[in-house]
Amino acid sequence: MAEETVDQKRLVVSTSPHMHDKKNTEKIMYIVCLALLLPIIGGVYFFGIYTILVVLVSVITAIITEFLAKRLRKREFMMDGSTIVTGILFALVLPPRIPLWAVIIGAAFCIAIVKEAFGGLGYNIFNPALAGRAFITVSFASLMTSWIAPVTSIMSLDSITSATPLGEGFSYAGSTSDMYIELLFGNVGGCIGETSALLILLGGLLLIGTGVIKWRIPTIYIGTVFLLTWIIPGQDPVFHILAGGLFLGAFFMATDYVTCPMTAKGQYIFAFGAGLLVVLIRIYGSMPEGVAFSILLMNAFTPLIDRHIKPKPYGFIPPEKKSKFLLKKITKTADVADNSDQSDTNKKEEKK
Amino acid sequence: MSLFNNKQSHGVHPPGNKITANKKIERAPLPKKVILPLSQHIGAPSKAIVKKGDEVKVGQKIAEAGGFVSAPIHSTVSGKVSKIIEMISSVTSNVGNAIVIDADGKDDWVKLNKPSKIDKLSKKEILDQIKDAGIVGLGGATFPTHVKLQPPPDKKIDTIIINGCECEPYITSDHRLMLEYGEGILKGLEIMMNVLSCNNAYIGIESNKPDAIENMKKIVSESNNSNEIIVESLPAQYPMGAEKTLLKKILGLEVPIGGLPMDVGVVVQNVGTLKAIYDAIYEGIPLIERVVTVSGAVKEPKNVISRFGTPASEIIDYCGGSASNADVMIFGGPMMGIAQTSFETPTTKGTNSILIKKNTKEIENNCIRCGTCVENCPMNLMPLMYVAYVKKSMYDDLKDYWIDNCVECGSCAYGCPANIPLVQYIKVGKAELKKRGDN
Repeated sequence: MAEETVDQKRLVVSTSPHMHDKKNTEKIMYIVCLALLLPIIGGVYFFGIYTILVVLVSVITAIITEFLAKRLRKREFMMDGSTIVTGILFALVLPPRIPLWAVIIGAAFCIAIVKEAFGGLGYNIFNPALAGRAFITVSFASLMTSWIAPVTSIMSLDSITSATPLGEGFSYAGSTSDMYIELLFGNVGGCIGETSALLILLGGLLLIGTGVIKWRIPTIYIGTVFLLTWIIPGQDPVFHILAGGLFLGAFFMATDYVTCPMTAKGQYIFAFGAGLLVVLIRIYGSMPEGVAFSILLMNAFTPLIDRHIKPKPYGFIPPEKKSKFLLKKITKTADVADNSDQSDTNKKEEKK
Repeated sequence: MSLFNNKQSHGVHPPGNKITANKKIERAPLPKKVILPLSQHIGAPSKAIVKKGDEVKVGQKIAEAGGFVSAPIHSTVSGKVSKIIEMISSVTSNVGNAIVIDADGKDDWVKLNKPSKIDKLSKKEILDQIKDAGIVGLGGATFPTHVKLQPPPDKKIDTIIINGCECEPYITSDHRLMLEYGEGILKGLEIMMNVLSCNNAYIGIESNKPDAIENMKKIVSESNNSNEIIVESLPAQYPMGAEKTLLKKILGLEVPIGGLPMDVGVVVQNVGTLKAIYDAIYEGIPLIERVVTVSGAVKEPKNVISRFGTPASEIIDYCGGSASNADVMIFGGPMMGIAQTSFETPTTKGTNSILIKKNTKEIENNCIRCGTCVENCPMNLMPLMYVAYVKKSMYDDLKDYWIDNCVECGSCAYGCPANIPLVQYIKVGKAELKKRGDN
């Protein structure tokens, strides 16, 4: 009887492997969202409740745009979390008092133009959130340069204009170490999510700890900025890594899978290049901050890096060494076959 | 990191699920009928030397080797050849002939050709005995063993590596062999070292089998041979048991692309094969059965010795039957095993495990270029590029990424967050390139 039931059973056939890691795209994206909660909390704490509105509007616009774009492209809409990540990241790189209509335009641009027009998740060349920010910066320059000082209470809608640490009008009255602490905790002017280096670092460590991102890009990126500003006279390396959006960019944007190189070597090049560009833009460029553009520029280089930096495959012998390898094999074989100690003479022959 | 340690290679860490590790090897009841495909190994299919209606005994040769890289096949039951059928191979999916034998239940053996003085056997006699016994690599690749033991004269073998890694989840057949037949394995190794005139050997076992490591160490130290045999404990990482990864881990050497371990003076052999060599030389028994791990969604997972050609359903029934919701049957492990179309598929020489499970495949999503496949690849390849090129039918570009170097271990697809069946794309790419090469 057992055999009969077995006979009728239809089996599923597919290629190996037949088991799978628990990791999937959706989970990765929600872990990133979780890590992003930290900078969001920082944004609300320093710039008031309005920032929550900015984040929500950005995320909702992103989702609606994605839905509509998928409809237009006749593709299935799936909530894989990547849209939420883009929405949050876009909100975090905006000034705290940005009008909501600008948020809507920007978020829609991120998804419709930067992501979906290129083919959707996995096919975009540029980081959508940063490209969106660049779009808003060139379209509404005045909105993107009006910064406020941290608010006194979360519910407050105050907007006392203040310069960001990297802006020209910035000066700090207290001691240098006090300034470092303020920068670390984020009690300074700046974008919603970029001011608190500490919260971003915690979020970044969460991502590294859960294996979502690798240490390479953030470390090399921040390290390059530190070293270069240390070498260039008149610059303060600690100030440079803590101020501005470097941490947010290093942990959450430069590590974007889609737009950074895949190989370890490629990632080193990418991160170093981005670090170099930040320093060049900040010190020699006309803009106070260069994180967004440094990452966008390196995004453009990613396909080139990936094309030329391939890992050395197992058992790869470069063509010029191949003849040498064969010679070695032959001498080795002859060596063993003769069963005598001729290795010394062989080595001499090889040298000749 | 490969920068600091040239013995390291990438891989993944799937859950071991070795639920049968403590189950002693049992003998499955004799099959009522066996189906013996003529292609149970890599190389030319064997040629049948029996016809419909012939009476055969256990161990009787029923098919001759079809070439140099080929192996004979022996009857695994006594009975009558009922028919010769065409069937789809459970390994390659190619159509080939198979001999069907109805068992008479008597289990009559042929007179075994047992060598009298083993010490006096010449190398040629040993090789002939191994060839006649139809021994092939039992790790899964089923490469004819007598071919592996006759390297071309310009390839001097200086090291033998015995593969006891068993890195595939679920499978415990080699593990149990090392625990219960360790002496036979060592004797088989000694024969092999003698044939290859090589006195260095390593037995590589993953550290998740401490009892097997202990047992093999004990057996090696108690034996009084002059050869140098080292039992190595290796980290439990998939695919440690792939011969190229194993070779790198133990010796720090890499087999050149497109080459074989013998190109670096090494022969890698599975522990099961050594046991088969021992049986053939000391007992004269040809290869007619093997240990099969039956695991996954069966009532009583077991390690059973079963005759080749037994329909899987008979072995599964012996293990209490499969769970009602199970709809996948795999010959081999979950990482590289081959899903079968029917529970009636007969086992072959390469079937080291029958795994029953529920289908858990998910829908393929867009590649997010996370690089997990690149990180996981033990051959240091970029598997995602194969997917991109195969999707666009740009097959010639596959060679720029050394597709032939891929061992299809499945580490890339295992870790892929987008559930992309990378191995499938790679197989399509390889097949397409082969087709073009043939024309």
